[in-house]
Amino acid sequence: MRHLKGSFVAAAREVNPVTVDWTLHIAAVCANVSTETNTADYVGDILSSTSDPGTTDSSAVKSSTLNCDQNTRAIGGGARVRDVNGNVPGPVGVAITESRPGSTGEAPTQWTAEAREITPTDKFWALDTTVVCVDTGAGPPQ
Amino acid sequence: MGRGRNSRRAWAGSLPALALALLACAAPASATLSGFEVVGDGSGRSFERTRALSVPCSGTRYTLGGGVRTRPAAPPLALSSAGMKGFGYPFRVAAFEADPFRERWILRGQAFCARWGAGPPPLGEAAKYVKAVTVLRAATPVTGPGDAANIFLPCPTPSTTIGGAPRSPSRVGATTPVSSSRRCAT
Repeated sequence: MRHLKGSFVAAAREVNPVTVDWTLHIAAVCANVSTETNTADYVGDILSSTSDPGTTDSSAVKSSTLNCDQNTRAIGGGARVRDVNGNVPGPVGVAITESRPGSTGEAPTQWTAEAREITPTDKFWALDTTVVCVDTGAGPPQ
Repeated sequence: MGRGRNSRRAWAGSLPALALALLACAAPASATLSGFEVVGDGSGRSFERTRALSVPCSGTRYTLGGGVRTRPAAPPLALSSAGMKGFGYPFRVAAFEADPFRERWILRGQAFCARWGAGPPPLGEAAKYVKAVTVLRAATPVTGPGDAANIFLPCPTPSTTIGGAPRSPSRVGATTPVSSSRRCAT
């Protein structure tokens, strides 16, 4: 396989063998950062960048979706599993199973994350999710 | 650090700030993102049950997102962090051995960074500014006796990857992403 510079790659595997079919999904955020254009699609203000502190408890699965403000879209984000004291990483055995720009189409307006105990633990943990939202209607150059 | 961080909360209950926000929607380009770059860092190769590292952006750049990779990919490793506390914080990556194994492994992290500056993109110097953002999606099914999946998703020319993320199905509950990163080498 030829790997082109600037592409996005992802891999997943079965931690415990399963008998059902499954699918790995990937989302890549693409942007032009190399040529000047006379268009009004430049990234402008960062209108929200919110980190959800999450709920700290011992539930086996946690998920979170953060929405962007109206007329803004998500261009970045992430997810972290932390322990009861706020330390990252959290307890061993808790894995992130999802962290991606949410909604469909080319203009996501949210970031969705999920984590779960792939090895059961009675320790408390939380899922922190972050989304970076921007206005993408700036420009053209002046 | 952290300009714009938690801005939604900061604006709540503030009418002047709300007016500024509305003005920003009506007259964009009061700020712009430029100078995108990828910063990478990695751990040593050794026996560890769990690993974590932070990848900060350089200079005046802010974190938009990032990537994470483990090597070798075959051992039962799982990700527990691929995110940042907020805009402007380092990208924090972490992984652990889902099942203890006797092999040295490496954790590598990437931070996707850009400058956030005031004013519209200047004519003749706008090439390096972030524009024309789109999101591409792809999926790879694993059927039958398969236990792993890989996806390689290039952005169309002249765009490049400034972010991304994976998802493996939660209903299965026994699969987990082991890497999601920007391919920087040709």
